Amino acid sequence: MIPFDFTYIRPQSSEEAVTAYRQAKEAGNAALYLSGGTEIVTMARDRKLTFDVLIDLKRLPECRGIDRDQGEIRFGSAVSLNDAQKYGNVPLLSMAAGAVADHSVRNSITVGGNIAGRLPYREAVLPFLLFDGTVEIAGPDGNRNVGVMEIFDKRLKLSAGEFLVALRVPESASESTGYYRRRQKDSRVDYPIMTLCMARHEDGIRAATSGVFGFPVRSRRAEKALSASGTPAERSRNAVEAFDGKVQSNMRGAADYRRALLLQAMEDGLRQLEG
Amino acid sequence: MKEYDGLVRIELTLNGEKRTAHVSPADTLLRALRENLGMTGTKLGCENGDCGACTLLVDGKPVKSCYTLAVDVDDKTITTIEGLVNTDVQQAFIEEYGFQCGYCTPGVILNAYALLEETFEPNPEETRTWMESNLCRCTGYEGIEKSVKRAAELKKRAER
Repeated sequence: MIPFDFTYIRPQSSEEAVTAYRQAKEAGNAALYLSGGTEIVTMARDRKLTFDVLIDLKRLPECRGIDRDQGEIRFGSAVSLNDAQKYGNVPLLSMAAGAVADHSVRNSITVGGNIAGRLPYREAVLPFLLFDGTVEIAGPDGNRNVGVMEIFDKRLKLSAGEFLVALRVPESASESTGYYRRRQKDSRVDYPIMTLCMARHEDGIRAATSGVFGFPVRSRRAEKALSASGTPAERSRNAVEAFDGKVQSNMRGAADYRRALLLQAMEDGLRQLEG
Repeated sequence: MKEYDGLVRIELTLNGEKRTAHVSPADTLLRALRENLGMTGTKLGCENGDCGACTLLVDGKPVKSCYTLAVDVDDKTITTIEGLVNTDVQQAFIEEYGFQCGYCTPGVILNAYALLEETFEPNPEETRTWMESNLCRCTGYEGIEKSVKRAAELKKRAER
């Protein structure tokens, strides 16, 4: 159990959720939005995270379901990773969502929770970065829709009181089989040391990665290098160097190893996408 | 808007029966089941969402109860190992020696049960994907794999 007391709130609308957050803050209480809860509960149990109020977003109708809507595919932020994986019409999301944690845990982890949570990998965001997706956000100043590339920089840059309602990709994302590779240190059930999603787009090759730099990233400079002329090996080398960020080195994998994995994956990705 | 503060009453359907429990928002479902509702078949392992000993079914889906808040399952349907009696899965685990010490077994069986409810004849990759959610220190997993396969056969035979 969690070794401190808190209030758990189950709002029935985004407005109620935002109001509950505001009221908690006005009372001087620390409030958090809860989605799947796998991170929050396990961290709270070890007192790595504390709060006075938890506001559960899972049952909000606007945060649930997967729908086709006006040329886009909309994923409610409370859609579980297993449901996102099973949906199948965005193959890269199926692959990325289906690799996180294990199958039972994926019944609890939500797309929104994975992206907005504290763990740095946030692999579910990769296809949304790749396909220029958008996010629907609710907050004290009302609702807004923002491009994922605009609001995601290592993590989702939400203002106080805001939460993720849904994510969208264009329907064209369903036509892209793309390229996906993930590598872990030991077993399949592990954090990634390298995850790469690539897709062929009308403007060239796109690529987004997690695990290598310590955060998910899509780099237009790297994509320019991938889409330039040259052999796959040359373009991949230039692309890896073009990413902003330092390749991380820790117990899971040294920087040289991660760089080599990314390089090889990009090269193989180019060969697959270009035939 | 519903607010749960202090000791609260939750209602759930537990192994087919309507039950109530008084829990705190800080109680995990694992603790509430074992300490408030007498369901000690669900085991406490890592309490970190890794080992799967605490696996049970929430609305038919396998979930690890160590990171699930008890208040979160207010009005949900829960199945613990006590709710499975004489199923094909349990028979298969006996036939194929799918357990040794038995500590991981409730979680393994519930996960396997859910797999076979969802997928009629899971292929090896599907079985592996589901069952890698549960760690076993005793069997080396071969017995578990054979048991799941045998359970699928028994289920198929029963449904003919």
